[in-house]
Amino acid sequence: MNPVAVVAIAVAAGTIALAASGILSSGRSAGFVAATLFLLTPLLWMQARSEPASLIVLPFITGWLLAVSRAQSDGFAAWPAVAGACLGAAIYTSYASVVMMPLFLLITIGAAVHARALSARRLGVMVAAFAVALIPFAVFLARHPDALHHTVTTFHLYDADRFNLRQGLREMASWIGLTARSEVYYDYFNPAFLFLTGRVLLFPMAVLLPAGLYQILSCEDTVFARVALGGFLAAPFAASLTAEAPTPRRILFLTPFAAVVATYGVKWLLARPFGTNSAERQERSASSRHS
Amino acid sequence: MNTRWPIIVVLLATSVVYFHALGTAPAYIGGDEARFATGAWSLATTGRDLAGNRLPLFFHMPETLASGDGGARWYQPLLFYAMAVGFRIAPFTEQSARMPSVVIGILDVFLIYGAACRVLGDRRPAILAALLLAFSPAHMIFSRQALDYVWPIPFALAWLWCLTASLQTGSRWLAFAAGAILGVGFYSYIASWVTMPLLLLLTWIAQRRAAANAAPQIIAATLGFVCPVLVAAVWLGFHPEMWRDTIGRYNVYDARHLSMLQGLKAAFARNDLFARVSVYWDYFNPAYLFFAGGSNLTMATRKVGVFLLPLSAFLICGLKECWRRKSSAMGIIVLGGLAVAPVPATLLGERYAIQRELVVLPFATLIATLGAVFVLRHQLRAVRLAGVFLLLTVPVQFAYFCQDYFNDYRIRSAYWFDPVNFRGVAEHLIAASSKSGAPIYLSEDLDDVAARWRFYLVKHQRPDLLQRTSLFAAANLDVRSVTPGSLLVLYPNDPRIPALLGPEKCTVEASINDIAGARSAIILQRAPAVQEARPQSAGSQ
Repeated sequence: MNPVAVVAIAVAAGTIALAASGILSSGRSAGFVAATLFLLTPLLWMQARSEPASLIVLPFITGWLLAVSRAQSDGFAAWPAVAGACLGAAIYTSYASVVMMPLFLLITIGAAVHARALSARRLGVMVAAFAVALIPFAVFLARHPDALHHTVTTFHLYDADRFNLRQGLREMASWIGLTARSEVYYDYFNPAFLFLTGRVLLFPMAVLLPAGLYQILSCEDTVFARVALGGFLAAPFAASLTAEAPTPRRILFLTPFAAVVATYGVKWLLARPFGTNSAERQERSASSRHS
Repeated sequence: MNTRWPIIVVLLATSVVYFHALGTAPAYIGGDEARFATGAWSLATTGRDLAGNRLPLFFHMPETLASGDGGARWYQPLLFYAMAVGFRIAPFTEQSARMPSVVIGILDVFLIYGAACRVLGDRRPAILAALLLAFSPAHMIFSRQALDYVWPIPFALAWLWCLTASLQTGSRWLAFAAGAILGVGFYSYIASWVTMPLLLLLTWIAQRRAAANAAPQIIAATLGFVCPVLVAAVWLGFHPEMWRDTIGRYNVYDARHLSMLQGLKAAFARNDLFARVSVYWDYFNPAYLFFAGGSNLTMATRKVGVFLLPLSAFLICGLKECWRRKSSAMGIIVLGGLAVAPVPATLLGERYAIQRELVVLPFATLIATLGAVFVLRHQLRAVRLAGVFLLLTVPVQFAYFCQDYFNDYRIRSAYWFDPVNFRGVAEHLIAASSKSGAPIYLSEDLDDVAARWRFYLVKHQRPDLLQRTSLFAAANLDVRSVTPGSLLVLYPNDPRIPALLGPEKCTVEASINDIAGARSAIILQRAPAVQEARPQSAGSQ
């Protein structure tokens, strides 16, 4: 196996363990659970064999998640900067990152504002760090204006020979374009694709993920939980812009978020008072007899 | 009276839109519409179906011009009987054939108002529910076709009303009525064979959730359901071919070689199960629900989804509200109804077959109404304003949909309803054949040719022409065996046409164009007998 892939997976697993360690009340077990779930993701190992370079983005995403989790829990001022820098640096790992990293930044800002967890100054630091990391990319784009044309053509986003950027974006957002893209986006969450035919995630995640989503939506109000939820839902965004049928390798962004959300699923399951349903029923029936 | 006028206005407005240009939008009669109409006409005039069965429970429809050819098509009875009543009082036309479905569509709007009043306990959101259902593109499209797809909806709504009332009052009679409505709804459309038992299952769950001792209510609902369905079970015992034909027609399993148990095992094999999970998932695809709609142009305009786009936001909020009430009986019923609706189409492995899951409309509409109420009563002013804006966009998008439906869509979809323009063909044939008395030959390749020909013969009161009509396979036709003067109808791109044309063979009698102006059919005439005599006698030597 390619050493780059092994290192990327190991670093990402270690970081995700640290980021998720606060999910469960029992010490560091949540970090262990999250890292294990992450390491058991079939897609990672398939990619490690076929496209090891694609995994390089993962340590940056998990690094950003770690920084987000720490930014709220401890007052160390550098964490927002680390989060922004991780996202900014990740831009240079793949074409899809150019779309996804700004989206992740927006999700972080949205979650932080919603939870009123980070001050405007700390959010400003995060955005500034992201912007600084983006400077070389902006310089490159200014020097190579044909790079955008090349990327658009490579991924069949729109007909770059006929349309300029504005016309192209309008074409992508047309009724037909939205229909095709929303269909592809939705299909990336098709359980048959995620757990059966696509072999993206392990089958037990089909239980843990809905449980985790429910747990986050109903009980969790931390920035980290909201960011994990937002990242999970946003993960197929770049892939769906191509309006091509779902491909497992394009949903790699999903893997760290799936591990974190599934860890919340474990939390939800552990909190179930198994066996009380029948007791509840007896109680209800007794109360109705009395009435 | 004061509190009832809004629903009366909604019903009147719905009637105006749903009845508008009923005979010409859709432009042509579809094959199944022709089958339903001719079967109902036979029932109205003779008391028998086309095969000669007196007041049948299920209708066995012929595939060819022969009335009792024993094809594999079996149809549910309710639409036939409703149409037959219509044909007793109105002439046989496209409009009168489509009339019962429109009446059902309007009835749905009234019933959802009643059900929403019961479920939500307030008349204002109930009016909104009625409007949202009337504005559902899929509801309007199917309410304007002489097909039975829309028929399960009133049963689902009446069931919902009875069940809600029985849960609120504890009445066993209402529980029985809820079950009985599902039992009668079993005969509304073939998908109801799966949907109605699943709704009964939901009934049991809701009843069990609502009362500690739910046994009497459960028994009442079950009895109500079993009584009507038992008739079908007994009938199937006497007509096993109906089960075989239907299972075979929908490719559920090979009913001729496998038992029911073996068939079900085969249908749920591992790979099939993966595919079905995927199909079920796709029934909640936003592209299908809010952007493109059903799978072909007879089911959707492709410019609007099953629901109008603003409903997507209300549905999400409504689902959240329902989930909050998931432990209540009402939450179970509404969420369960939404989950159950795509099951029949999923079992068949058909994607985006909106016609098989129209029961989704009332449940989704109720959920969206809950969502709209949630948004409009939200504590944040910005959310309330966004809700008002979304509500205002509903009639705007519906107006856009109607503009397209009554104009461009008629032309776009004409080919899907009838690629031949059989109305044009039939009018020409009837006029020409009435003058000459010539026999008529219709190519078997023409889409649903027998049903459509029968339809237009009844419409023009010329059923006698059926005796003079034959179907032919163009590939096997020996033109010399065709009676001189006969009229032959084929697709204009039929590769056999050049071989049929020429001196002593056929000449082009007419070319029929469709609504878009493209050639859709060609009518040939066999050369007259005088020219034919010599080669025929030569052939006989």
